[in-house]
Amino acid sequence: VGTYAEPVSEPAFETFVADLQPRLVRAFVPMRGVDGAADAAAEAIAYAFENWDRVRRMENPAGYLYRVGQSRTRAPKRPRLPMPETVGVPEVEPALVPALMRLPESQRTAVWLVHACGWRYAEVAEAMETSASMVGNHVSRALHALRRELEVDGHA
Amino acid sequence: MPDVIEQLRKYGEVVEQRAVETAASRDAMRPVRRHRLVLAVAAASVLVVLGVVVALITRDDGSTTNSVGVAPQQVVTPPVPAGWKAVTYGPVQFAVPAEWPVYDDGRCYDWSTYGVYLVTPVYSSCSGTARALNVYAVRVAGDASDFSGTPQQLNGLRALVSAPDPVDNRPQVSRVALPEQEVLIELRFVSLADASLAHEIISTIGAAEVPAPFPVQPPMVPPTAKPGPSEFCTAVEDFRTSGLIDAASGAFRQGALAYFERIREAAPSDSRPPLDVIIAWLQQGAPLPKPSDVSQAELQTTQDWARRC
Repeated sequence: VGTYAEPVSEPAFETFVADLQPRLVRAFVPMRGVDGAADAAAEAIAYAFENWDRVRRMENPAGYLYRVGQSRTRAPKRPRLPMPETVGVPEVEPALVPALMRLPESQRTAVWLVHACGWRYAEVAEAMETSASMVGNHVSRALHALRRELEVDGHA
Repeated sequence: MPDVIEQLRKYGEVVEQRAVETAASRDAMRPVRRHRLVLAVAAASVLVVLGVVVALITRDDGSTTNSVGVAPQQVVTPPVPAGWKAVTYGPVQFAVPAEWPVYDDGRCYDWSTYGVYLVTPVYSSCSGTARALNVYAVRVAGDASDFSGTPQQLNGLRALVSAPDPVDNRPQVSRVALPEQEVLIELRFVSLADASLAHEIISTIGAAEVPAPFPVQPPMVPPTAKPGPSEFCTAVEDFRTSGLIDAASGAFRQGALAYFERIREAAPSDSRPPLDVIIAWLQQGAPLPKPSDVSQAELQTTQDWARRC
């Protein structure tokens, strides 16, 4: 037995997609790369459509759908991320991307979702199936590692 | 160079755009690969179209004139199987089992029983658990490019049919768009058995033997306004994200008392009793083992927060 959400004429789903899809695309970049992030987001949105009645009642649909997108798509061994200078952000340190990718997965996910995507700790906790305090720990350690690496690189 | 946090934010903005562009350029070359995205986007598009149509119909001061005025080029009488009945919707008809109810009063869909709905529900809060097959007919405006689906001739009518491969026990939607008739028919079902029933219904879609006016869409009932972010919910959210809940044990860490006092201050009166129990326990230094009434109060507050915020 599945569930449907609202009358099809209600624009709630369309509004939901418009808000969430770009957030999910950005969220998936470090794990799926620029080649796979949109696909993972699409899988998550398709799931939301199929299970709209349940998703619309979720306190934190973004975090849940992040997990859906992760589980429904395969992670590449080396997600492709563009170097900052090739995408027109010279103010971003070139060493940031390799430093980010060297982080443990939990730290990379947490710091990316919090600071690159602007997700709330509660949303990240749902996405990572952990507590908000653990998210805080991951973010703190990730930032420490990134700052240390960038500083080393900057002085190299 | 800006701080790492600022760099992450800027880089995130740019790569999001790059990810979207990469997917778009790839799909232009291999459109089939992103079937799932197409499905989701198509669904969203249908919702947009229908939303506009509902608004237009609602504004239509009750006029029942069929403005379509397009007769089928080749009139083919659609089949009505034995034990079925024909349902007319404007210039279109289709057949369903004779015992199925047909509604045109704007009621909420009943997902648990088979039925036909010719008018969009006037309530925005309809929901339910899907078990049966429901058929919805909606008047829509737009040319064929507004719809997705495989072009077909249904008893002489040009149609765009979108019917997913059936999967048992999953909500599924088949759509039949009839651009010339300005009609969209949706069939929602769950079980595999109903997939064949949906297919049979689709095969009965055709030009109405006796075209009828479109049903009048009653005015939409304004949705009950959900309270916006309140001081109470803000206080709850601050506590939730404070990191004062131990991930392993679920116990509150030192400092939780101040949050609970703030939440209680902003809480509606009927939310306060369980908060008082927790606060009293925290004021005693949160002695362990946790008393059962405190555990019960925690459960109540959690449910209360989920309901209100």
